[in-house]
Amino acid sequence: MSERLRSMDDDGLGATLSTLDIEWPSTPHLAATVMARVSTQGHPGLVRLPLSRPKRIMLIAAATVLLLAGAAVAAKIIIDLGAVVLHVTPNRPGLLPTPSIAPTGQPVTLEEAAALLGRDVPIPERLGRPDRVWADRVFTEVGRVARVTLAWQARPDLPEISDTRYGAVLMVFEGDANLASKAVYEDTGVLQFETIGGVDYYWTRGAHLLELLTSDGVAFVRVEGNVLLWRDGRHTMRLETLLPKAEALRIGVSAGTS
Amino acid sequence: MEGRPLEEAELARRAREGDDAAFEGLVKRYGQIAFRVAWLVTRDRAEAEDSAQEAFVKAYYALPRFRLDAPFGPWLLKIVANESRNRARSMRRRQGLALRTAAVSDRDAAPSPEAAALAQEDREVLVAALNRLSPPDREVIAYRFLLGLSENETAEVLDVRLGTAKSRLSRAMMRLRAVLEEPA
Repeated sequence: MSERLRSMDDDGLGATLSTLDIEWPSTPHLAATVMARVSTQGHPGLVRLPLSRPKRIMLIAAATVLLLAGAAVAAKIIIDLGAVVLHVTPNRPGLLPTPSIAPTGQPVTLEEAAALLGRDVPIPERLGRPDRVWADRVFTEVGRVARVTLAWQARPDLPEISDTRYGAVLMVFEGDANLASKAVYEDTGVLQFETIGGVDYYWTRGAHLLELLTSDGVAFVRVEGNVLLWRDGRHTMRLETLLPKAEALRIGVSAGTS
Repeated sequence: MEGRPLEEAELARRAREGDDAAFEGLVKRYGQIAFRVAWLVTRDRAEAEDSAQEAFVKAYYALPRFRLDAPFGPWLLKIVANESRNRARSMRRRQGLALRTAAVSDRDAAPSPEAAALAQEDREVLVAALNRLSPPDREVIAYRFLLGLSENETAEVLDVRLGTAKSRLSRAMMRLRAVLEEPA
């Protein structure tokens, strides 16, 4: 090693590296092939998913419902919480899917869920250890991201959400790629905002439609429960219960922050 | 502003609004660096070309989710790096990436004073040392210094926090020094 290289500090060595003429492989002509592909496949918004035929038919049917709803009313307010986007629209559409629990992915242990999320799983102290844990890995433009779902069985202090057997469901979404979109209707729903301990919480009430990107494609779910949304670092939390806002907030706050 | 190239932010805004010519402008602007990022990750020219192409297509369909207050480059290069990593994982064998200095005739007719000052022997010693580093160390140094990405951009492409990118770079530079001290 020459004395000149030896005497350099990191800045000097970095500057020297920047002057190296590296023999890169020749750059292919990407523009023509990329533009040919996007012009064949259509414009953004037309998402093609590798779904089985029955799933595709269900998806098209659900999308038709959404399009009909969208044609009638445009969103007045959009709140982007990262993984979850809230659209506030004036009127609820006449037709919503039947109530169901959102697709959850595969059962996992809490340890596996923590490894997927890259952090401890946030467990609200007021709910205790969850009865079920699932995880899904969803492909997005920034790679695969994790969604972990925790569920607590219905019990006297946790009323059952629409025949689901569960009294509370907490979804934890990793990152900022939009994985879920929910519509809140001004005429039948409620959207309220609270800041506690520097964290912004969004509270919604009233049946609404949740559009969820999963590893199997897009799912459209009718949500009957009340939902509390908040951000914790790189994660977006979505807590669904039938509890009133004050109790949901206490549960949300008891999940702590990373 | 007719006749002048559009600013990146304006191209991104137009592309997001459905202007395909604007998106094509972005592909042309970022094609080279996207391909080089993909090559650094996959260590294979054909895979790098496919990765870069696929990443641009994914970026096109993700445009509605691109935030206009953010720079386009790091957002795109993160997609490129993720696509390349996914492909690299599924490749059965990866070639060892061997960096080489360009032949004299490939260099600029008028190299910068710093480049001119660097002796050919030193160039070869440095590139040989880079080739002896582990792929992650070589990758972070290459993003930062060979491709000229900022620390923030390097963190985006590595998909880590800024502090993590800085410490990775610092450790990689330390190991580069150690390799430089070793007998060739």
